[in-house]
Amino acid sequence: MSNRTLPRLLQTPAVILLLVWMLVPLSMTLYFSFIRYVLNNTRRPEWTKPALENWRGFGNYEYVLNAKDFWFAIQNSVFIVASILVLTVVLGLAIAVLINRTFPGRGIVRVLLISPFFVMPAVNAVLWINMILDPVLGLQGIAVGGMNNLVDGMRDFPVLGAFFSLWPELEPISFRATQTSAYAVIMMVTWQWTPFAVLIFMTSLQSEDESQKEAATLDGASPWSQFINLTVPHLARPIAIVVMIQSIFHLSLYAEIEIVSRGNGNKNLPYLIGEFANNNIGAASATGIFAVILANIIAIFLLRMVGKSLMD
Amino acid sequence: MAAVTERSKLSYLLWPALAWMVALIFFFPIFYLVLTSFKTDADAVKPELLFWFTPTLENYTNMTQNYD
Repeated sequence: MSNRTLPRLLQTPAVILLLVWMLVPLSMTLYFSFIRYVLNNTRRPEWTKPALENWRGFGNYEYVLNAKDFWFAIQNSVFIVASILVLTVVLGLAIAVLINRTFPGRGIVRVLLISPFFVMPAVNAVLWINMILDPVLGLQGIAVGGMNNLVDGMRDFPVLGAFFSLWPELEPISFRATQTSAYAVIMMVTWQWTPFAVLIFMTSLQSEDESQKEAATLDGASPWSQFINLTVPHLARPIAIVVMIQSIFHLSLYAEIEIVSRGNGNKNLPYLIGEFANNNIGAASATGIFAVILANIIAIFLLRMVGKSLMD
Repeated sequence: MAAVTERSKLSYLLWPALAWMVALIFFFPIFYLVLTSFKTDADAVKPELLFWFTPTLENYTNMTQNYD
C-alpha cells in the first residue's frame, strides 16, 4: 500500500501546479465571456469592472457570431493551417528521404536544413515580407525586374526576338493584399516548420529495416514502389504526430499575421481575438472560447488518427 | 553487407548535389538576413549592392542607442 501512496504524494505538487495553470486562465476566460467587460467606456463606466452585476449571458457569443469577420477568420485559420500542414509534411518527407544516405558534408547539410526553425516568428515575418517578398525593394522585385530587363534585351535578337516580343511585361506580386498576404504567411511558416518535419522523419527513417528493402529490390520493386509500400507505412506514426503538433501550434499563429496583415483584412482567429481585446474583453473572451472549441474538435480528430496508427 | 544493386555514377552525384542545393536554398534567407545587417540603411535597398558592398558595423553599434 505504501508503494503507491509515496509516489502519488510526491507527484501532488506538480499536478496541483498544472491544474492551477490550466484552470485559472480557462475559468477566467469563461467568466469574462459571460459578462460585459470593456476597458474604456465613458458612457457606462460600470462596464469597466469585471463585476458579477454585468452578467450578460450569451450576449457576447451572439455578438461575436454576428461580427462580420468571424466566419471568415475561422475559415482562414483552417485554410492556413491545412495548407501549412500539407506543404510541410510533403516537403519534409521528400527532404528526409533525400538526406537519408551518407554523403560528404551530410552533417553540415543537416545543420543548414534545420536552421530556419530557430529564427523567431517576428523576425521570420519581417524578413519574408520586407526583404524577400517586397515587390520593389525585396528579392522578388529584383528578380522580376532583372528578368524584365533580360527579356527586353532579348527582344532585339534577330530570330528569337519574335518569340520574346510576345513575352508579357511581368509585374511583381504585392504580398500585402488580403489574399496574397495569406499566401505569404503560408510561405514563411512552411519555411520555418519544414525543418521540424524533416527532423522527426529523419530520425524515424533511421529505424527503417534495411534488409526488408534489399529483399524488395531483389524481388524487382522499383524505388518509388518501395517508398510507397515500405517507407510511408513505416512513417505513419511520425506523420500523425507531426500533423497533430503542427495543427495545434498553427491554430494559434499570431506574430506573422500581425506583421504581414496588419489592417489589410486578412485575419485568423487569434488575430480576431487581439482585435476585440483592444477594448471589448467580453467579446475577446467569447472568441477565445470558440477558439478552444475549434482546437478541441481538431485535436479529437487527430487523436483518433494517431490512436489508430499507434494500435498496429 | 554490400549493396545488392549497382548504382550508376550519376546517381552517386545527383542526389547529394540535390541535397546540397535544397540545404542552401533553405539557408539562404538567414544568410541574406545576416548579410543585410552589415549594410547601411541606404545601401540595404539598392539592388546593385546586393552582394558586393562595403560592410559596416553601424547597425550593431546603433542598436542600443536608437532603441527607445
